[in-house]
Amino acid sequence: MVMGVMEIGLAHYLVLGAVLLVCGLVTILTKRNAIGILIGVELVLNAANINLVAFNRYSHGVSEGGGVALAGQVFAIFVIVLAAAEAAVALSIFLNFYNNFTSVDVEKAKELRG
Amino acid sequence: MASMGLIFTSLAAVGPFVPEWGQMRPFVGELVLMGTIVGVLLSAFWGRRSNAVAGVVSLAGLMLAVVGLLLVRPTEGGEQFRGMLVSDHFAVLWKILLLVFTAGVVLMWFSTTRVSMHEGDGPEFFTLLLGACLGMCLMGSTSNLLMIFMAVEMASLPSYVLAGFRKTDRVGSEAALKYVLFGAATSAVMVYGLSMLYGLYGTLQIGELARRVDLGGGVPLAVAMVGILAGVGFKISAVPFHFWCPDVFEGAGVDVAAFLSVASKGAGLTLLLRILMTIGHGLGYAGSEVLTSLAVTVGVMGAITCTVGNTGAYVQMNMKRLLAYSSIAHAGYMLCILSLVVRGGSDANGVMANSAAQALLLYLAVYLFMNLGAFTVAGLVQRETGGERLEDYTGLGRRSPLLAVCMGAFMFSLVGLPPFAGFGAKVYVMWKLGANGSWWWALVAVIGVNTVFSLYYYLRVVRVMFMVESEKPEMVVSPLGGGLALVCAVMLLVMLVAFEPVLNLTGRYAKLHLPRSVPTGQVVAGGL
Repeated sequence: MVMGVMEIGLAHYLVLGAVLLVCGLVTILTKRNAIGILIGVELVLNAANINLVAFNRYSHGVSEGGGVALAGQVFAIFVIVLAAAEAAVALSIFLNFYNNFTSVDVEKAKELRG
Repeated sequence: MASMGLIFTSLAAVGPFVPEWGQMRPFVGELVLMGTIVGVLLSAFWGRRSNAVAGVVSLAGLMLAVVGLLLVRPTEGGEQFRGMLVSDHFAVLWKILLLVFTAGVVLMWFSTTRVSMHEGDGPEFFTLLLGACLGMCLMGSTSNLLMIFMAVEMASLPSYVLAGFRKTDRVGSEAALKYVLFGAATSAVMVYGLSMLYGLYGTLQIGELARRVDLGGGVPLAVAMVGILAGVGFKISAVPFHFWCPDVFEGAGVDVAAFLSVASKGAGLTLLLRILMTIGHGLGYAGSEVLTSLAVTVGVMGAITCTVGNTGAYVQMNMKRLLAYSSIAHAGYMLCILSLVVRGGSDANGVMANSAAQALLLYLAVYLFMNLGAFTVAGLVQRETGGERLEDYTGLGRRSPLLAVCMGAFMFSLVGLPPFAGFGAKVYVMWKLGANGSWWWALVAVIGVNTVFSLYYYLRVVRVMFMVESEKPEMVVSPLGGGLALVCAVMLLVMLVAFEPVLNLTGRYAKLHLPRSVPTGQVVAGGL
């Protein structure tokens, strides 16, 4: 560690996660393009991943018996896998929407009203 | 062999996990469902991708799973598979109800949407239906954060595809788009909340972390609770996460709408019940701030949800949309029940949680038949007239007396009027809430006022069917469809006549596994 450089700790990761969360939420709420909204969702999921991994590394890395606890890391892996599955499903639905509406603009999705 | 055994024993503390048969037994429903999914996929190779064969295979699998679950004598239950899943009476009855309902949806598919489905799409359709059903089974029996996330996603992903299953249908693809975007956003927020819970308390077991909740959580705990309520509220379609519900019901096929109306909501409610109960038990039901605020939040959410559902249904002229708002309202009533679970006070043995579980199971058992029947009639009318608007129901009393009488029964039952079981279920819920006193009386009042409000739009359907003349020709109803509607209507009558046995049955199954109560000795310091 270079002297004078502040050591990076849990708080930094949590702030990064919070910033990603806010970016993701803003993206979800403001984007009109379905793929843009999906990118926002991925940002929120990755904010959660950073939290999980950082918490595991800095706070909860030791099990009660003194061994290694990896709950957070494992959770993060599952989140990544499910995010991939979700993206696959979402993109195929967007493609189908595009075939019917020739657009992925969510503003176009207003035939169902009432 | 000896060395293998040695390896296994030395790894037993952390190492590979070999489940025992005794652990698997309560999950026979899920196991049979998995086998059925494989069977449906394989049937595509032999049955020339026949839709009917896939339907029959999945129906047989669902029946087998129900029989398997009925044969299981649920023990007092407990955490299985290292706490990933929980087995108890409550979960078993929920799974039985869900599987019976899904079997009903498959029968409904045979009588309504089968004719319009492209030959060869059946195997995919039933794989998705059973996959969503499997996820919903798991939602009813877990109290581990990772499993909660997995189960919710497992229930959601096939549901998104099912909503847009009719590929060339414009409204169907729009419904799927809205559903997937809304679902992905809420589940992402939920994962963020779950990561906060993990960070605060250092465990993924809700029972474990509930014991540490009193360490204080402040803002991160609130974020976590909002996240969980968003993720689960989306499945329940609780306000303010209900926007998808009417659009998806209108855009999706009638069978998919029927499936989502009961299964998705029921799964969300059972999951939320278990989460709240586990938190309440972990806190020892002491009147702590966390519990009170949770109970109030859930109760208020329920009150707002049923009010929004009922007022939204007022102006609907589309039958599926009307039923969607009606299902939002019913989800609101059931949410009100859940506010009982986290009641503060001197309830150390989970009596309150069990009686709330009983009320929820009872309501779900009745609601299942009401909605299955109503959607079946809607599907049959759509199949015959090609429409799903209220004017397509004009003169139904003359065109098809059987369907009209059944639909009338479902409408009366959905309002909660006497000769049908909807009355018993609703009165029981109101009585349970009222017996608790204090501010729960406000919920009783809200439910009562909502019932009066809902009279108008449910009875409007009855009026259109019997009082409005129409020139439309008589309808030919397939025996299967008519029979299914009739069975549902008769079940509603029987369940009110035999209300006592139904109450006893749900009471017998309304036992939740309570995490072992260990005094907070080894407290791991939170991350924040």
